[in-house]
Amino acid sequence: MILFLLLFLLSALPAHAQYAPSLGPQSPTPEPPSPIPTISQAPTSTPHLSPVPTTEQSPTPTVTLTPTPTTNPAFDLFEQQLNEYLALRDTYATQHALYQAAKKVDSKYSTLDTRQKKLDAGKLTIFAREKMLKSYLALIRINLDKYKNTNFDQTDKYQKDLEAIEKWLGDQILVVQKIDEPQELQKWAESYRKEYLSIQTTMYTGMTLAEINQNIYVLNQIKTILVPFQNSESQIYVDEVNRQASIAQDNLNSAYNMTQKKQSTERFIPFYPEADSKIHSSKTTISTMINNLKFIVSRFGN
Amino acid sequence: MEEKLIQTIDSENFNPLKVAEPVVNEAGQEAPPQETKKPFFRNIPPKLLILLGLGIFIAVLAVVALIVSSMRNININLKGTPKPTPTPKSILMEAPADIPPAYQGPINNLQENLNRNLHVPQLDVDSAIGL
Repeated sequence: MILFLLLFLLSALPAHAQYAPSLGPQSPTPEPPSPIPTISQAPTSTPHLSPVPTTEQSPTPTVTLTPTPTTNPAFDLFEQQLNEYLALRDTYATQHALYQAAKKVDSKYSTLDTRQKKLDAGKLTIFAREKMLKSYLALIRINLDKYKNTNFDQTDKYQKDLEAIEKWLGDQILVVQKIDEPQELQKWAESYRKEYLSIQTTMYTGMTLAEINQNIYVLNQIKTILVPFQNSESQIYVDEVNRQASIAQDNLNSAYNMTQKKQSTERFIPFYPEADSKIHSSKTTISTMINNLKFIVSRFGN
Repeated sequence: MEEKLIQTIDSENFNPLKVAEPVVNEAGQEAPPQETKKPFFRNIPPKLLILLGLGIFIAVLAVVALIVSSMRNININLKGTPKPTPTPKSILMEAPADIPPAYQGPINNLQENLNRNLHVPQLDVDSAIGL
């Protein structure tokens, strides 16, 4: 009954007052500072094309875009790195299978010999794993190069973090090489597992950031193409594209915020699938924007 | 003895002037007058009746409220949080005509960049070796 009464009261309120209880002129809510670069603002005042004589060709608006990253060497480098990583991944998989087999034998017979064989297999697997991980982090680092200029400072920071982890992983190979006691290896593995939690966070943040940068790059390019169309005739269409741009930007902000969530000290809380889904939403919106852009240029671009 | 009129209209011998004979049982005693049935709602306690009435009243009000709200296109969310405003459909629904040559390159480039797959293969690592 209370629910019915509430419903009635709600309906009695004017539509605009329902979620804005404050009286007086509404001030725009201050937006939280965007953690990722926002798309560059297109100038509000645009040169208005003066009417041209019918005998002359109307001037085509010139489009000057920043060089596209298609010529970026990072693309080729990425392919090379990917092949290297895939080869190292196979080596690791083989070593890991051997380690599992040695572990099984040791748990069955538990002799000095089986224990030593397990330790050796474990060390070899760790070497293979560290090499593979190093290669994987390098792959993410190079991936970040593709659209780095869109968000240089932040991307550079993550690339440096990744580089530092790559070095640390290389150091671990040297540390494990010196280990010759199972207890010692166990102690090392314990500390490594804790460190691996933060490695995962950096890794997946790097992957998310690469895609965010890509989206921001395309959004910026759309804005640039739209500059000559900011006039009274096409303004409503441009406004619509700008509205969609802010939706895409919101999704990208959400994706980045997911990477910044505090992690547990005990286990890694995966955020990448959720962030990736936000990026996917942004991409869908940008696709619509491109279609709308095609319409604008075909209708007003001649 | 008090006399009572019993008139049955459907009776064949119905005579409005005839005085009805008192109803007597086998023992010769007059039968007690039949109790008239009370209306159903008289058996319900008054408090419950008031509550019932109030409930019906509120239900009617709620139905009216729902009709009014739907007419005004107000979003009422029973969970208490405001529903996200539905995204208006794009106003640019027309299929694009021919794109001027000056824009073809940059627009194709946009599409190409957007479609570029930046995914890196999924990693499967056993971080517990040695434990």
